[in-house]
Amino acid sequence: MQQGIGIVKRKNPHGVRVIPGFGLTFGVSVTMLACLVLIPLASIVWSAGRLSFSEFIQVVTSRQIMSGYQVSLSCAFWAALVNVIFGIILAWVLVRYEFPGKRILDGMIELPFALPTAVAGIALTTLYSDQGWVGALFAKAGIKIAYTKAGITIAMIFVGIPFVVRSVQPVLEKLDRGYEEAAMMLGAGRIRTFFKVILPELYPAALAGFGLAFARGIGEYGSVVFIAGNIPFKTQIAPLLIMSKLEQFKYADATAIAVVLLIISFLLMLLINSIQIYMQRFHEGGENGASLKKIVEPYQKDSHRPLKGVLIAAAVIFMVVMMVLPLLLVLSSALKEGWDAYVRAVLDEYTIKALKLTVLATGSAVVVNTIFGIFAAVLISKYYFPGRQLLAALIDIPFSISPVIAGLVFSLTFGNLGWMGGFLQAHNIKIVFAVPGVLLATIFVTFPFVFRELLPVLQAQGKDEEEAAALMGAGKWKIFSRITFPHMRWALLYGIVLCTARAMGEFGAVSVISGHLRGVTNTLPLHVEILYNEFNTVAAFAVSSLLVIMAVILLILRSVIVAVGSKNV
Amino acid sequence: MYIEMKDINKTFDGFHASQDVSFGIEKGHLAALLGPSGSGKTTILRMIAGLDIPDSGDILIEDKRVNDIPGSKRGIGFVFQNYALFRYMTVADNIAFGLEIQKKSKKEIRERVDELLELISMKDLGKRYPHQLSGGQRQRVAFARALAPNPHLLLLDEPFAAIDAKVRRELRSWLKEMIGRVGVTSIFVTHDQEEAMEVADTIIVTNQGRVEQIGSPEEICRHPATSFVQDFIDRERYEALRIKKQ
Ligand SMILES: Nc1ncnc2c1ncn2[C@@H]1O[C@H](COP(=O)(O)OP(=O)(O)OP(=O)(O)O)[C@@H](O)[C@H]1O
Ligand SMILES: [Mg+2]
Repeated sequence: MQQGIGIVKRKNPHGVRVIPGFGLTFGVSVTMLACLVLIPLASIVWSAGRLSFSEFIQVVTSRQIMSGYQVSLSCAFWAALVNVIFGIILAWVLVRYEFPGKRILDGMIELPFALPTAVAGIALTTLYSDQGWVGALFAKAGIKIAYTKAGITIAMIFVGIPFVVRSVQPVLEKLDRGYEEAAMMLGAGRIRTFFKVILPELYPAALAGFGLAFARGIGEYGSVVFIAGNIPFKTQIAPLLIMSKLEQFKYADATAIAVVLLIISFLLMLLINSIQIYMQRFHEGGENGASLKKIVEPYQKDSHRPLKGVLIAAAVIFMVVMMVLPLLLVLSSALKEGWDAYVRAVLDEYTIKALKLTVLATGSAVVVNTIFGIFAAVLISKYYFPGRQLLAALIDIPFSISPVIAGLVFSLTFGNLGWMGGFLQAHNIKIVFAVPGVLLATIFVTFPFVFRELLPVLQAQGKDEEEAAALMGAGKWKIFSRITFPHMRWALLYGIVLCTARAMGEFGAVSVISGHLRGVTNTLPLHVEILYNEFNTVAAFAVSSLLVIMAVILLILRSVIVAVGSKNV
Repeated sequence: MYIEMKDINKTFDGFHASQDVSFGIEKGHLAALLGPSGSGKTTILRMIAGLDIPDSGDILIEDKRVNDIPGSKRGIGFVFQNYALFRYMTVADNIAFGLEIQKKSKKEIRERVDELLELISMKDLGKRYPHQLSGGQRQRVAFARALAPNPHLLLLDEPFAAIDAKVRRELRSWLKEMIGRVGVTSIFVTHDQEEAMEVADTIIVTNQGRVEQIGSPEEICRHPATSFVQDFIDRERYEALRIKKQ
């Protein structure tokens, strides 16, 4: 996973475009972006415009909505804070220590990306309910977790942890040993060195992780709704309020709530980016990665052994409670009534239909977003044109907005009350509450995934090779297939795996748009929700177990790709 | 001898970075470790500092074996090749870092920091951050930071490597003068023989992990002990340098 899209600035003063194919890549990328993301998004503006300013204020300041914002923001804040602490511990343990099971721990970090949010939601709810494996321990002490803010926070911790780990980890890997050695030569111990010398080096990355985890927490729907319990004024999160307004067909109200959430996310990202840019200047005060000497022996040998043990234990316990227990719970609940009940639930007619739709939606998302990702990444990394940065930022939008809002924009566009609704009805085309809507929503939420993986790789490669080939007379297809493509093979595979994982588990967006028509527009995650809400727990977990198995396979694939890919670069 | 290396051996994955290294340096001397790239200079310096541990042999400081004492407790100042200034601390905080560890009072720390800033002629720049300094200034801050806790021994790894040729000459004589004034035993690494001849009292010539010769610049240049030293050292440059000095 890459954080933020950093554009390598390279001025091309003559504006000479040596590499052929600009027109094609530009045309394809911009057209796809406009049709699949920008036009649907624009309907937010259209819809918000239907409320007068005072109506808008009235909606978003109503008591229920305000309490929704308050719940979402405060829980997301605390969750992001916890994630920063454990994220740094996890990154530290993964970079600095060797211990058995480290590879597995590392591979599990991405579980929250790969595990469908609805599955995570029902697993966490069961785990932390008063009768659950963990919840029961707290219940004895009189502490309730499920259906309280504590539960919401835990679900948000679950979804946010990979953001912090994966942004801190590479920085820690590249951190110049010189700083620690300098501190040691001045007499500093391990603890002081960490807090005064290492930690400041990690702030920018930790801050980026905090921002991403916070934003994800605010927008998260699937893994939070179940454990929240949705008690008005107490545990209703903002995305849920959007959802319930939509169910009442109050599109304008839903839009108003969404607009405020979008503004909050935008301001948050702006703030964090500014702090990062400010901190960047300190980096010129010394180069990093200059002495790449391997781990220094005295560190490994003596005094900090007990600390090492404590940190590894903290990391492992965190991962067991947050990741392993939910998985085990899914499997054990699925098999609670025996193998036959399990098989019956899995082979149920509606389960098979849902599986088929999930495969269709995931397949479409992967195909569309791979094509888009390749074109857009080549466009931005290989050609110079004004507005590249803006384009990269626009492509990234679906990544940072709540899936519920993603669903909302499609309702506003294609729904009966949407701006294209009249046209579609006249021609008898159904998109919302039909299969095309499910596909569009899935494509939308995973839109930047392949692009984000490809761009840094292509940027790092530069364009010298392409320019050399172009000067020798190679055409665009030859250049792409012989030069550009070989560089991006591994990143492409990686992006496809991430895209698949996210697409098969998408819940919030699809939930808004599907109408929950059993056997028609139900994907597997939606089917899980229905079964769970019908108190058909065994079936819900049985279906979940299918998704867990797929998630685990994808995680293993991911680890293999990372391992093999890093050897082949 | 103030500091002594006795039959030191060090391998990295089977590669001999130090082979039977033995030498001694007297108190108050300024010694240079001179040799071609990869000859094991940095490795020797890091072992004295406690940043690397020798496979065998003894390191003695004032006749005390220090092999098992962690670097943080050896009372050694170290100036890193790329300075390793703490980027998120001001110049003054960088210099104060080692003093804070010694649990000095606020007042003592401030006085010592001011004294050192004066010494490196950067009195008014204490509030700056490393990114606001020139290469030469950073070098001097690194020097002051290493000196702040009053080390018995100062180690410098290629202290002038990252500085352009002109400033380098000035800094070189500045450093020699400073070390003379503070009176601290020092060892610096260099692969520039002119630098070694001009600055050091004692030169230790290394090659392929071994010590080829140890002696004063004059001894090394006029009486090379091995054919390697004979080929490596440019005697004419030495004589020219001597004439220039007089
Ligand atoms: N941590 C390490 N792991 C493996 N090999 C190492 C390590 N440190 C040093 N070496 C090897 O030991 C040899 C001596 O290295 P050292 O850094 O001491 O040389 P040097 O004389 O300081 O060279 P230079 O002038 O280039 O800095 C080199 O061949 C180097 O590759
Ligand atoms: Mg060296």
